[in-house]
Amino acid sequence: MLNFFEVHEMKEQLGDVEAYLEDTVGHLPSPTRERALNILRAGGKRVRPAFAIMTASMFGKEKEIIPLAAALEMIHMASLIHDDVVDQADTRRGRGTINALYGDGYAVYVGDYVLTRAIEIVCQQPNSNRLLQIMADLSIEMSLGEVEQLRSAFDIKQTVEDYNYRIDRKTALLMATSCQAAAVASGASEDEIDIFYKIGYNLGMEFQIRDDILDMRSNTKKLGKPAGSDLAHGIMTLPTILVLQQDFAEKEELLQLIENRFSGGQSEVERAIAIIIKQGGLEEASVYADGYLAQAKAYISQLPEFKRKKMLLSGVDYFKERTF
Amino acid sequence: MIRLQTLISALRVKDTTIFELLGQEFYYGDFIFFPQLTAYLGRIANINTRLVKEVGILSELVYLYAKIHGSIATEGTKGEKFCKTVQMPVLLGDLFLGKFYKTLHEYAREDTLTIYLEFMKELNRERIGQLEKPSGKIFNWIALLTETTVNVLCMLAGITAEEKDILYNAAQNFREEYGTVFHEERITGLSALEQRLQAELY
Repeated sequence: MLNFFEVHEMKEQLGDVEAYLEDTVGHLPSPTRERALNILRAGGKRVRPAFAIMTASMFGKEKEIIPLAAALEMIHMASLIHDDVVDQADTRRGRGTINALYGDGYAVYVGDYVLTRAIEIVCQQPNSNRLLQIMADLSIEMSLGEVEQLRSAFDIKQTVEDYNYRIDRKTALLMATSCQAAAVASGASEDEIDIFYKIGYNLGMEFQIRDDILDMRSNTKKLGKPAGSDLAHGIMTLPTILVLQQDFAEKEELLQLIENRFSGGQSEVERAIAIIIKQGGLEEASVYADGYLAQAKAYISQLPEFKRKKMLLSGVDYFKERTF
Repeated sequence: MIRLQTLISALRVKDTTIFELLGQEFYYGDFIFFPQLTAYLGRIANINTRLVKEVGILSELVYLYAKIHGSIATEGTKGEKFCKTVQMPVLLGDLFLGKFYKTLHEYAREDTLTIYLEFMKELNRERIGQLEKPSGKIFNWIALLTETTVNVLCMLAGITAEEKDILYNAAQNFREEYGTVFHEERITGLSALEQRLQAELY
């Protein structure tokens, strides 16, 4: 199984992205600089920059795309910082969140500053007017997705369509935009831009569904947050929604646990997860994820041959097998 | 009088609109400051009406974003903390910021973006700094945004440096006199404002 993050060329280019990020954040005054760098260095797979680089490589622009790739990661960072305030999360990737350590207002302003710097970088790229339009649409849709997630907490009547609406805006759009923006900045044709958008979109949907499966299957150490934390916060992810569409003996118990908002604590969350797993919720969600992966591969196959096409085709399978 | 709903097309969130969400969290009055400000400056300097309206709307969107996010860190002061929760203000502020970028593109005013971005960087640097080392000093970001608005207007209208100073002073006087009233006091004196403006100009 190819982990393309570990391929030498990709590692080198992601290293350039890291250096660019550190340099950009480094212009903040102390102690904000150190706090922001702490978040930056907390890890993260740099998936969005990786896909931007992969896209640009088709046009021979993998070096020129580094600033835009960094800007995309900064947009992602800013959204995570704000999400942590909205979710009132205490930890991310095993570290204290900015809002938990320094307050909600501080976190919001740091997120705003990082986003502003990202937009500045976007404005310096080729086809910047088009890129700005893309980023504006993305920003609005991501916020709408978060609003909907907030409004739908603990709503047991959600459908698969409701879930798709949310994860479309939460994850898929930024992945799609990463590929799309890289294609635009690299001078791609409209057809090529469209294909890359669809590749990113389908991979993003697949990525989020797998993330939601992992949230229930994995453990605290690997996730960097308590297992089942989405469910504990009332976020109905695909495994839960699919199970609630069935009729089975423990359905009433599951509904009660959710409607009581797991008032008994983590043990109730774990009980709910056990029911969902027993009912095959994770396997059923995995089928949906496989569908999006197949769609992404189909779009990749439509691309003309380029140096990293084989790497991309085999590399996307890596996401299916990840455990974190 | 310009109403917010007629300036910005409603952003729909499934079965509701952003204005309903906004109304659940804040009281936003009838007085829209920046479009009124740019209209006033436009009359003084004889600036194209469309330009005046666009800059007014852009600055108002930035104002909304800055005000709503700014409400998150302040506590208890009448007229400052007016949000019931922290979640919705974060998201609504983000929505207005996104709407600003989108509207900027729709108006094809990307050339003004660096000026607005400088304001946003300064705003957030100051806000972060105030939380890290509270000095008791009040950062007048509305005055800064007023200055930014004048800069944008002058850049687009090709106004000279000397005329810019006049507009800058007029803008700050306008702001100090009429404020950026948006909260619980309904504007009963708006007709008085209009009369006063007409008396100044004609």
